[in-house]
Amino acid sequence: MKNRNIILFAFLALVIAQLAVPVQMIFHNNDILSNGQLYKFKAQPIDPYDAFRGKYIHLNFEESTLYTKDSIVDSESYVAVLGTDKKGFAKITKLRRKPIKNETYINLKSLYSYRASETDKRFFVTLNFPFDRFYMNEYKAPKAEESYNSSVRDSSKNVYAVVAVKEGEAIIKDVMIDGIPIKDYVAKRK
Amino acid sequence: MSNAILKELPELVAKKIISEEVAQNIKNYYQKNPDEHANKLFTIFGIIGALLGGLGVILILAHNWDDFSVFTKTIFSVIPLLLGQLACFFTLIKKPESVSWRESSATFLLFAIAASISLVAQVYNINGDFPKFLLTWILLSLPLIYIMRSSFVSLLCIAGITWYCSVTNYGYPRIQNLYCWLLLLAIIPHYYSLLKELPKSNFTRFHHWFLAATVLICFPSIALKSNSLMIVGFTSLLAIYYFIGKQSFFLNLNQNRNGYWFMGKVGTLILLFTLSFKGPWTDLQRQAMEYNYVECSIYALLFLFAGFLVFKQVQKVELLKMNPIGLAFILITILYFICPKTEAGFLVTITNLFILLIGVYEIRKGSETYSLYKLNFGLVCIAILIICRFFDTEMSFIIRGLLFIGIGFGFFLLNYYLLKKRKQHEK
Repeated sequence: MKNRNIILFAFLALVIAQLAVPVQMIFHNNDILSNGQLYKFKAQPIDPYDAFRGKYIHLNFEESTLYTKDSIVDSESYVAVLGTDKKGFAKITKLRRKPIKNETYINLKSLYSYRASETDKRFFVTLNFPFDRFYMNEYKAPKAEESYNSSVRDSSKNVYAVVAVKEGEAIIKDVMIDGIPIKDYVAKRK
Repeated sequence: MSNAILKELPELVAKKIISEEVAQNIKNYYQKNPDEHANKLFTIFGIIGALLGGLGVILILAHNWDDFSVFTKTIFSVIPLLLGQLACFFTLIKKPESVSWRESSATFLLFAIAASISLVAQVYNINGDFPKFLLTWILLSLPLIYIMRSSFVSLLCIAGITWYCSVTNYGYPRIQNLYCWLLLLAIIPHYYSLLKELPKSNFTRFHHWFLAATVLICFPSIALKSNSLMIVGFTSLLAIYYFIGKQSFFLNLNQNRNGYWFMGKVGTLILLFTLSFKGPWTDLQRQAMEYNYVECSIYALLFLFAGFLVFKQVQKVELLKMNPIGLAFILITILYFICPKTEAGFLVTITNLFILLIGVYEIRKGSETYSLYKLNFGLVCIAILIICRFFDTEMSFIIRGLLFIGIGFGFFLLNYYLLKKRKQHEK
């Protein structure tokens, strides 16, 4: 009987731990979505597949490659300080090891950097963004890619991800083609 | 099976092959355990059902029901987890002694954990840090092994740990990952209880295979940088497997061909065949020996333990009568340390001769014990050795052709000879 109680108690603790993981994820991400600052990142989507989470569009961000004055260490953690360009798109203004107060930044990892050319003293840096997936319905993801491909030929169209940023963490809120959410854009093209 | 035996009993008694008493004992034995077979089947089908059901839930959720709001999808994401937990709770309260219930509800819950975490990640477009996801999944599933007493969850966790170690250790950038060893340690108490309480069970047999394979796959993760000295640890580990597989524990259970023995024997042979080419030795000669004390100590300990097992074996069987495969780790270690200052050709010749020795030993042993398996195993060793040399020597086509014809005849003649000898022996 005593043994059974111990097992039930251990099971209860496990149930709480198992529920705590998704619930903590839900609350944490909801907080970023509701209270984070919104940025628009210019992107190029393609549609791969995840065995667990289904179809998603993979986003290559224009800002994931940039030129810096100094070289960076490969595969290390950095903070990318965010600003906006004249058209209102997100721009990385600085790469630092640690954040400074009152700056909006995202935590990310460096991939590699090399000198741009013999004459150019700058370094060409490639970054690994912590957000690059936008999950979509399995039937809509390939159509979204088609839509993107046709819109990319039309240089007047803008494709970007709306990203909520808070204390270094970022979540994609939506992917837009010319100001229309990609889901609606795909539905409109049917 | 039991029915067929029971039907035969009156005839066996009538023909005085067994006594009345023995027949009664056999009857009693099968009447005591009539449902054992049915229970086993129920457990297998229960596990398959839970496995397919769990995977099905993951796939249905992966469809991405984007017509629902974020709130609805969030609620949906925890439903599989709650269902799995309810099934386990019901099992603990109402069916704690039913293996089928314990195994299938725990298996379903294991997949429900993955489904829930994945769906939340899908809803919030969380990036795929796959190793972190695997680690969370394993950590939340491991306690089920002990709470639900589930051996299938234990097997799935071992597979998960191997997966986790592979994605971190073999990916880019390579990370020295020692967590997987801590996770494996958490499985050991369950494995020990299986060895003690259910040594003959299929679950225990699968654990031998799974654990042996996992340790081999995860082995490179102990090195900070990939270095050539690992070959000493690797070959010693294979020798340890080989000798563990030959322990009286397995022989008494009539499990001569167990997971440890198989991986030790075949693994050593694969390593020897690889080293029978010149390329790996010249690579080893080019590489600078870089290693740290921790991994060096681990390799040294493994070598010493393998040496101790050889010593124990020598007390039972004469050294010259021992299968040379068990001594391969000593040869490879010596060759590794002398390789920087030795001609690669010499190292290759020694390795080739050693494989030939193993082949000859197996053929001789097969002929002495009338074992076609051992005889053909030895012949296959020699045949593979010749095929390997087919690729890297400058022998003329005529000589290569004659060698193949020769080995073909050898297969035929030796098998014929052994079968004839066996028949004579049986007479």
